[in-house]
Amino acid sequence: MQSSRAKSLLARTATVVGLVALFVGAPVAASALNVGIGSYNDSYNQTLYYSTSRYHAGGSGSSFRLDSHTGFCGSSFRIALRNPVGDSTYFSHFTSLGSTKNFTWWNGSLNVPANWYKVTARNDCAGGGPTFSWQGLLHLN
Amino acid sequence: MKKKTIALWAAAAAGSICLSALSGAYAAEAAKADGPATEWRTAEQTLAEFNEIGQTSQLALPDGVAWPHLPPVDLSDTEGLFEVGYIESVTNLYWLCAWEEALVDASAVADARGASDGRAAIASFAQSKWFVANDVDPNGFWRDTVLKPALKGDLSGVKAEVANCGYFHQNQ
Repeated sequence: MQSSRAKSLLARTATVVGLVALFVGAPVAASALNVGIGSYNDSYNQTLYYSTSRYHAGGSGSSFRLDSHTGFCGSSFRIALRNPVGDSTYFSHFTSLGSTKNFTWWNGSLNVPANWYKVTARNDCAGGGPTFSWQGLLHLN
Repeated sequence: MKKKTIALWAAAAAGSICLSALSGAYAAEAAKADGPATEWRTAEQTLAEFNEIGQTSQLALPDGVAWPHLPPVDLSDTEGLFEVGYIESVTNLYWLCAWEEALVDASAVADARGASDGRAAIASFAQSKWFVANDVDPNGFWRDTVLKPALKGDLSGVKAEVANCGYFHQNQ
């Protein structure tokens, strides 16, 4: 009897936890406004052109948050969005973890029009240094 | 006491599974986004791949449309490095522009068959291997604002996108 009640309690606990997990997880999967991306950068001050194009519905608020890196060389790690004709947003400079920066055009406008965008990234280490990996959260409207 | 211990253990285990699943999902997103199994090519190597699009692409363009002859401006950065798959991305968006313009043109002259072909093509884009494998529309906005209205006859989203097809138009 005790075993049965314990199983029942276990089942109820698992159900509650499962529902909580669904509740917590659902917004991430359903809205999918944020995409975790990560890759590595070469050791020199080269622009890296990533292959994946993603659709941005337009407007302000597109951003990137640097969550981790293995130690970029130079003073900062820079990341930008680039559209199919090669127009690039300003390269956002990242010097610390956890900071979120909006993508802007060179004139300072936050309005990134609807289009397909690729990520480009570069280091600030003209003298060279170790290759490093990075990961963060890309937010597109 | 024993029941409490079991319940706590169950909650901890379930929570751990839950957290593992969530962090696993994040890692999976990261893995299919921009790496980490990234390989790089020089601009020269990528240009060579670009020059072979006509021979290598499995995608069919609308009648009268050719593959691009002008390399993407990015390839003029001879110091840059290009992720493997870069040209595939260019090719897929060029193909989309070609079919979106074909749909708009066909609709403008009441070419029902042409419009039907155009709608079928852009609908297939959302099912394509490239689209799915690269998670290119993570918000679903392209599907909501361009594809779905187009399939119901509203081409406003398609027309707005065609206006952004600068690279495609440069090559016509």
